[in-house]
Amino acid sequence: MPHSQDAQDVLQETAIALHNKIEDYDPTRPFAPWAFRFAYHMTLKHREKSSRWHRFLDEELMKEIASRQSMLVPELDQRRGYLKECLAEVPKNKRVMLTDYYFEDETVDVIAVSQGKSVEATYKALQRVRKTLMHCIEGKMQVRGLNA
Amino acid sequence: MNKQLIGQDEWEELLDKAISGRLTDSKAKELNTLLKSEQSRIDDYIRYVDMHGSLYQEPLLAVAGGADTMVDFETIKSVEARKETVRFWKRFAAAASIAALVAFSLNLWQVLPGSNSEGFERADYIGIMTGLKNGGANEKHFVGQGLQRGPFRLESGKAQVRLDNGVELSLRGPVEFDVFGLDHIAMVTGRMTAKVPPQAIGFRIDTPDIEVVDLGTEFALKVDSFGKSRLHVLEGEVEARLKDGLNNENYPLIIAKDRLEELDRSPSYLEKVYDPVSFAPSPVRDELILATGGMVHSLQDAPRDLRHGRFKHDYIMLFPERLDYELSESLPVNLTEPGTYRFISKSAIENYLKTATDKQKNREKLVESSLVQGEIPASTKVNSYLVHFDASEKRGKIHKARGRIRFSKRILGVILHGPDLNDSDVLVGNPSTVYENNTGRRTEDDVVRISSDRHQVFLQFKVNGFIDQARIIVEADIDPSELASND
Repeated sequence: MPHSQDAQDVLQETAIALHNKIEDYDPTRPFAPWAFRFAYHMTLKHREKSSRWHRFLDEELMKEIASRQSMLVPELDQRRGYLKECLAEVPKNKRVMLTDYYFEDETVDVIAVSQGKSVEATYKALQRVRKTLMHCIEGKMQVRGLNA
Repeated sequence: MNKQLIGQDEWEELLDKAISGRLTDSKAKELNTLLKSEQSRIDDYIRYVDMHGSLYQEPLLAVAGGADTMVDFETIKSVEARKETVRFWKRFAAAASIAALVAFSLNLWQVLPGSNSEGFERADYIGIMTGLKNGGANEKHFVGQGLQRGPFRLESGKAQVRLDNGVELSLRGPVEFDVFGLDHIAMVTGRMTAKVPPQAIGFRIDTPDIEVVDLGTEFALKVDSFGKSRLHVLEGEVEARLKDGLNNENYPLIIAKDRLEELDRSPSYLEKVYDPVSFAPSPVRDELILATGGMVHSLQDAPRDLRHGRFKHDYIMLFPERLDYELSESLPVNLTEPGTYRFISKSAIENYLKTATDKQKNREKLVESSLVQGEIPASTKVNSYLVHFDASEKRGKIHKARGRIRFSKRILGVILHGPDLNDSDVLVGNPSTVYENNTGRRTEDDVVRISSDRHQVFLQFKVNGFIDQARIIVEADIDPSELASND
């Protein structure tokens, strides 16, 4: 999504839709696919409002991603386990930055001010931590895969 | 798909720009083309977004000061235990983040009911007793008690236990069972009702004579003193079988609440008609609490004794005190307005101004502990909740914890100042709880944020030899203007 505010909007719209339609939910059926459908349709609806979205992701690609994601669920579960391990290895100052960004919901602008860095440098720093985490997860996937 | 060439660094930068909302139009087009060119690009994208989404929910990031500040339940001896993953909500977050393409999982915990997905990090128990009623005089269990693997017995009364995977167990004593893990319990005798959320499908309860595997449901079991079991499916479906049955009853059978008539033959252990008195009641859930995050854990009942040192735990505990209660007199509260406040004693202000970062100073409104922002008028119907954090065991060390609570109704006020908490105990405290009313209840540099919609409160507690508490007063009446705005 081009802007995180869009994501928040879709999230809120989905939450309201889920809340309003909860009576229609058949508890004998799995909840997740039902909820996902809402999320997906809300996303499509939101996407129609934004021309930039169309450039980023057309409907065909969205369907492909959603379909592929469902096939990757076991792997993603495993990766989330490794994410915990990798996060524990992140140096304290980097972890503070991640906490500010992900838990405190601070904007990059605010984090930049608090760290005495430029906004661009802060984006880069966050990117580097995410990259490190990603590579760490990949490494663990490979090692555990080989040892399995 | 046509393979598009791009360097790995450039590709990773593109992914990062996508998740941080910094794609220019031309880069957005480039990403679109690349994603269409090769399935592995899509997989990379999904993995990256999933990691990003998971970080928003990662409890490790909610731990202020790092893992070394954690303390254990006072009464629970540590054992080695395997941590289980709470999969469902994370899958939801991931799928949602894919669907919304970037950061859709942002704050998901705020809107999804019961998303206590954090589990107990670094602790060795796998559940918590969230409610206990009418226990006998010699009852050794207590609200807030951690549940470990191994045998468990409740002599009398009713209790509710929440496992880390979200399974809620309602117990009616006497009941005895063995906890093998998050996904497996062996019941010896007694009555138990299990409500199993989607992420814990596959949860299994063995009794001496039957085996029940959940397929997304709520079911009740009772086992008599001869080891004979009766099963009733309250919602959804289970797979059950008799362990040593005759007439093929030892084959697994799907029993669905809505399709009981379709069963060729009703198994001998199935009780089709539900008698609520003979089973344990359905687990209850506090509908006022939409979600908790960070280090907050919610309890159904208030603990018996909250005096300093009597209710120590790893987490910030949240519990109801009085519900749907009409104030007999006006109630002064320290905070009523949305904003981020650092609640600080007069003597500590100078030190704060010296040591706080500019970021803190810009973000936080510094207020004195004795501030009273307003009064909730008499006759207002309210719900009162207390959050409690007591890590005083390791005296001399500072312990920090943060967490968030989202209520379905608006927050009318928050009381934090020790003397104000003392004064309000009688009016809105739980009548059967013993509160700390000496100096042990003290505000120490704590941060409280009330969200602009007044439904959410963020707490950052720091304790050093004392307990931190906040009393949150939530409206009880439905606001007609809110109903209108949701239409």
